Amino acid sequence: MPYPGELASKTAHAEIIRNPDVTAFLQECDYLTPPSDEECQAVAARFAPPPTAEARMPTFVIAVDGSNHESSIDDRLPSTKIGYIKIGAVLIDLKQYGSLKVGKYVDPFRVAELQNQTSALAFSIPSANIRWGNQPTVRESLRAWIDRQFYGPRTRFNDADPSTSLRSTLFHLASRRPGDLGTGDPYRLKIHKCPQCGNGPVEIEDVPEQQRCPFCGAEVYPTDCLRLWEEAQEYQSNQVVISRLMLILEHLVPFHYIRYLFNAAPLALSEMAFFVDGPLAIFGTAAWLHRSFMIFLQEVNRKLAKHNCPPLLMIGLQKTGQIVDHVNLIERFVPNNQLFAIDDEYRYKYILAGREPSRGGFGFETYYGQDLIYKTPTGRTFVFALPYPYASKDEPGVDFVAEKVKFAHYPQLPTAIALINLLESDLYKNAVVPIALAHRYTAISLEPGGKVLDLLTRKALNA
Amino acid sequence: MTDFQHQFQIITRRVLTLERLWALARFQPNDAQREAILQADGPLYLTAGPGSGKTRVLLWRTLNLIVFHEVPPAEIFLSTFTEKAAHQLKEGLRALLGLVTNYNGVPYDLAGMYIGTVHSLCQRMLTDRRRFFPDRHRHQPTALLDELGQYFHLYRARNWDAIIRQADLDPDDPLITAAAINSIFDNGSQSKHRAVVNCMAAFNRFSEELIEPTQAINQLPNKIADLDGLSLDPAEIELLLKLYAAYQNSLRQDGAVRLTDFALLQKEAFQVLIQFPGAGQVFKHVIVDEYQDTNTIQERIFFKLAEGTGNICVVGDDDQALYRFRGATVENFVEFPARCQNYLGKTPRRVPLDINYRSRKTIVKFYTAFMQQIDWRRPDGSGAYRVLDKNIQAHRDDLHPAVLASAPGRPEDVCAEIARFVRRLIDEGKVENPNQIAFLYPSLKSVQVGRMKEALEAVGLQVYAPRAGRFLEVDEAMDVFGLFLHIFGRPGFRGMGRDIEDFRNWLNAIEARGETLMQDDPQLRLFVTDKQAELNRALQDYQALQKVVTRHRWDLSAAYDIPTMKRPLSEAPGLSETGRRLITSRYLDRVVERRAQQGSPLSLSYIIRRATSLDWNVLDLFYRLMGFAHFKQMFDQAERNGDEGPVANLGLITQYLQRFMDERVPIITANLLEEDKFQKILFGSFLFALFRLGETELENAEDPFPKGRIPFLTIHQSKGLEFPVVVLGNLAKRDRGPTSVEKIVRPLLERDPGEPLERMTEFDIMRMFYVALSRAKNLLILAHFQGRGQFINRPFKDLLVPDFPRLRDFDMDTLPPTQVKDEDLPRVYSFTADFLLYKKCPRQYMIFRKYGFVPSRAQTMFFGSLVHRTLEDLHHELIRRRNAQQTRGDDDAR
Repeated sequence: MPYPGELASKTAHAEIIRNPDVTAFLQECDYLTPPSDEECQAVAARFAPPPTAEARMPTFVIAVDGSNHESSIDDRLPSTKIGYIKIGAVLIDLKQYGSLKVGKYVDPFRVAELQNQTSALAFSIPSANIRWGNQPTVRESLRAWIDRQFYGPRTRFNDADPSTSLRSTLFHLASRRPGDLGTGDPYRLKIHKCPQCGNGPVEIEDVPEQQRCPFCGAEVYPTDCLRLWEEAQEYQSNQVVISRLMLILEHLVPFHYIRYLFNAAPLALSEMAFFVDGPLAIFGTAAWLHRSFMIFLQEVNRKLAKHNCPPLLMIGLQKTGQIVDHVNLIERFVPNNQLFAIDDEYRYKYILAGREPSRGGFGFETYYGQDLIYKTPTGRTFVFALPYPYASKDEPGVDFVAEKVKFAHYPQLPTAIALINLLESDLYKNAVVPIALAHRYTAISLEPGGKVLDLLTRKALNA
Repeated sequence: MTDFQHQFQIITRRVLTLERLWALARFQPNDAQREAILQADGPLYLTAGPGSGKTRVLLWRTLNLIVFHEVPPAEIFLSTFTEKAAHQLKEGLRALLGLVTNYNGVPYDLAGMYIGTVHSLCQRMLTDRRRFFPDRHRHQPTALLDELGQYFHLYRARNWDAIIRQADLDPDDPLITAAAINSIFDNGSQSKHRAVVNCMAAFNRFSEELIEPTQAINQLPNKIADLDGLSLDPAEIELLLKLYAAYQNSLRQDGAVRLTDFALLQKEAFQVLIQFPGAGQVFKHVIVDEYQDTNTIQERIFFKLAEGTGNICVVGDDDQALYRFRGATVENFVEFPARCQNYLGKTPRRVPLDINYRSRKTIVKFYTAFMQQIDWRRPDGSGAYRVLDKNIQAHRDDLHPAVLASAPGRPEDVCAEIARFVRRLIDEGKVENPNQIAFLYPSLKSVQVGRMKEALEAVGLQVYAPRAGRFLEVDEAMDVFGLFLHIFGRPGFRGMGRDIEDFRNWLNAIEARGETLMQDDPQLRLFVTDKQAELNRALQDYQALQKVVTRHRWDLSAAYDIPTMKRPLSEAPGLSETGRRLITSRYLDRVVERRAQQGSPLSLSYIIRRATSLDWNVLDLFYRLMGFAHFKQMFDQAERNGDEGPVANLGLITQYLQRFMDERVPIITANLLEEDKFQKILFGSFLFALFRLGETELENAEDPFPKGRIPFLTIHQSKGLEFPVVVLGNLAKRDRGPTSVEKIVRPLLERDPGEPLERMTEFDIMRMFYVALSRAKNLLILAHFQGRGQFINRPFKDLLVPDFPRLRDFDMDTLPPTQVKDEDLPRVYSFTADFLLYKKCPRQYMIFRKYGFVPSRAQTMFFGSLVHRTLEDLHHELIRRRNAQQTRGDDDAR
């Protein structure tokens, strides 16, 4: 750890590079190496033209992106920290958007002018050395405050109706959890164990009153089911929790829309497309959510099918990551207008560098959507994901690993492709306009956004 | 408002388009339909040919107004020709609006929408104080007499005598009186029944033409020439107008509730509109279906309602105008543009709906050619009596022959040939069920109907024709009423005349029928005997109690006094144990005491009636009979997808029995059993009236088309329907000139009289046949009678040329298979009335929901529903309050 004000040496890394132990270690590691030209050609041969079925474009696109920042309350107390998360959801009317695309290019900042409305959820998180609301520890403060924010009027579709809050959406999803921890009742959920006494499961209801653990009487919160508290630190930065919560929220917020629309105006969902930043997967302690997402999406699609409507369109778009790195290496070998659904064999061979295949296939415990690589007719490449067409990965009679990569199971694929073609942006590499807008809206840059938050923190705490 | 909330509003406001809804409903409107749906402002004139999808257009037009123009349903007035059509439209709208709600989250409430027949809407106007009466005071309630009710009202001696007296006729000389009235119309028959029927027809026309009797009488001296020209005697017309005035008085003076009939109802509604300054602003849109069948008063009502906005949309087809006998004036439609200019100062936009989606090309060509067989132009060259510039085109483009005639010949041969052909159609699977082949007739009383029926039965086909002949003569009606006759006994029946003789014969026939049924089923005989015993017991108890009353010299109208009367009554010699139990009931005592405390004590007469009344009514009795094997097998048969005819007929019987209970005897009390009173009311009055009136063939009856049988319909009944195969069983309809009522009304009209009297029936006959021809989808068969005594109307004669396609030459392979068509309009199934009922008992569902049986305890069910709804409302209110409190609590906590 440096002393305050001490600057790092500009040549210190030279010793590391010259260290023979380091060199030997690197030689013994497995890691991604660029494929040869022959391998790239073989890989490119796996691509195929996308399905040509007629695409019915949605009326609206909602794109969700998040950003976080952790701030010390005072330069003199650098170990006392507060975290911030901002989740933005931009709503774009595609009819208006269509009129803006002149020729090949669309300036996303012009598009920004037609953004009907952007919703933003800002969360603050007690991070290190901060307690809230007479809670005895950082961990308790974090639990209570997160729950409070999930329930708050700003997260609601009707501020007077608590059942439209983000917390109620969590109830709806958690109740659908398969196995013993599901309740089947959208107004009740189970926490696998009480954070205080460790006994469980603890069942709680979607009511305004504070609820307590039946075993020890300690306060329990619905958001405890996300198990963020398990990674909370008392005296160090809780950046891990902050990042984890942001990633959860990036997926939970689209489902918040879906859940509300599904209740209030379900067929409107057939006119919507949702863009999520990153793969369709939930990692870490809340990974169980991915199963609830799968189950809920199938419920939605069943209802839409009853009215002859296509399935819900949700697209996870990856800007960075291992697949994007891999695509950068092979894209020059792939002809334009080609598509590939990444199968497990390919992934373990070319992307995950010899990692042991997981039980039940890749992402068995985390993914709820299939990754695809698409090179547009204009030569840009996109890595995107569509939700799996199943409610479960181990449905009887279904070879999930083999079936999940078949285009035919994704009736929304032509629309997804058409939408990506329509919305591709020159602003960033592999960018589509909605995600770019959402990112632009939510990104907390170090300067000046981060600085402003720092000042805000200090002022609010009178530090 | 949160960001989410705001975004939700944006999404739901813009997410839905009409085109998207069309795609979801699999509706692809053609250009004209699209135009008719989207045109929201100003008067609109939709000339809609047969099968051109006008109902769908109306549905989508209304939806467009509600959803995309945000017109509240309560500000739309949508008039249909039948309640069934209104119900279908409402159900269709409800289903589609439900779909819309699924898109935009906006709930739509159709309860406030004025949708129904013009009569029901007029009735609603008269009671809708919130909208049509600025003072909002309660007005005297009115009870509506339908045709049968109007007949009974006029026929009732008290009313008839009063009316006669007011018109300066002598009620003590009924035969001469009846003859005087009947001679105005036809032959001067001395039948009171005939006089009543004639008066009804004239009175209704007067009302529909807004004729004020006093004013018309005053005008008579100016109309002598017109009357002479029609060979009408001014004195007779004056008499008729006086009778009309007296009839109106009788309606006002009949008890506490003011009565009205269908025709006067409209007149009264129009008066309300005239007196209410804001009448033209109540509705933003007035939409009228089947406008060609509107009458003068209706036209005035519609224009009055639309005068504020000018938004009137009329849909119709003058070629399908059928209801002159109800006062319909087809000129309202043909001359709508001029009328619109006259009333609203605006020219309507005309949208012709000319594409026929129903019939094959040659059928469309045939009926188009048929209408061109006569000259429709006005003699003075000022236009035509018909919308001439129609261009009806078939959407289906196959050119195979689809209109066939039998070989010209004797009726027996023609009927046999058609029957054999129909048998082939069924045997070769060209129709899925015999009920897809309809036989249409100008009148079901024709001798040709009987011939065809026999020919079909000879090839093993059964016919469903409840309106051919009398409904009371169908097997099921004879079975039920035969058993009723055995249970209640046969009334003494005096009088002479053909009607009475026929009715006596019917009574004999049903009595024999009942006897046969009881012979076949001893259990049924036992049941009948039990019921007879119950009736006897009730009568004996009544007589025993009466004797006590006489002995004590009590006044029957006096208040029942428990201390002095209970014991003597309960100890009446000969009183049955049941009677005694009822008199000594503690519950009865409590009721008596409570009523006495409330200041409205129960009379002795009431107590006796109550103690001796039966705990079943005629509908209960009907349903008890249905449990016996003879009737039960009819339900079993229908349930097994077999012949539904008998069950359909039984359903119609329940409707008549309900009518009897509503208007005559809701509860059978023992005093009615004395001196055959009940028998006289049921058989001698109610059923005899039905028997004499017969079933009017011109009713647009919403009869079922039971599976397994070939329906026989009048052309009027077929209006609005379509069938894969249509047989026009008779191409003859004599032109006997206008009815006497038309002649009588003509000189009294204050409007342009329209079609000339001498051509009126020629036009009407053409339109009637046009309706018949245009019902066919795949095949139209014409019965070509020829030979001695046979006649067919001229236009048919000209079209049935020697090389006209004949049945014998028909290549069956060219006939497309019948496709089960999806319902045009979506239907909403109710959770309680459909789902729960079906879940509880599929057979009950079949009986009440599918075949329209009337439940015997409808009032109890209604009350049950009312209680249920009230409880549900209370629950909703409590939940709403709890939520509100909870939200407030949360806010406070925060």
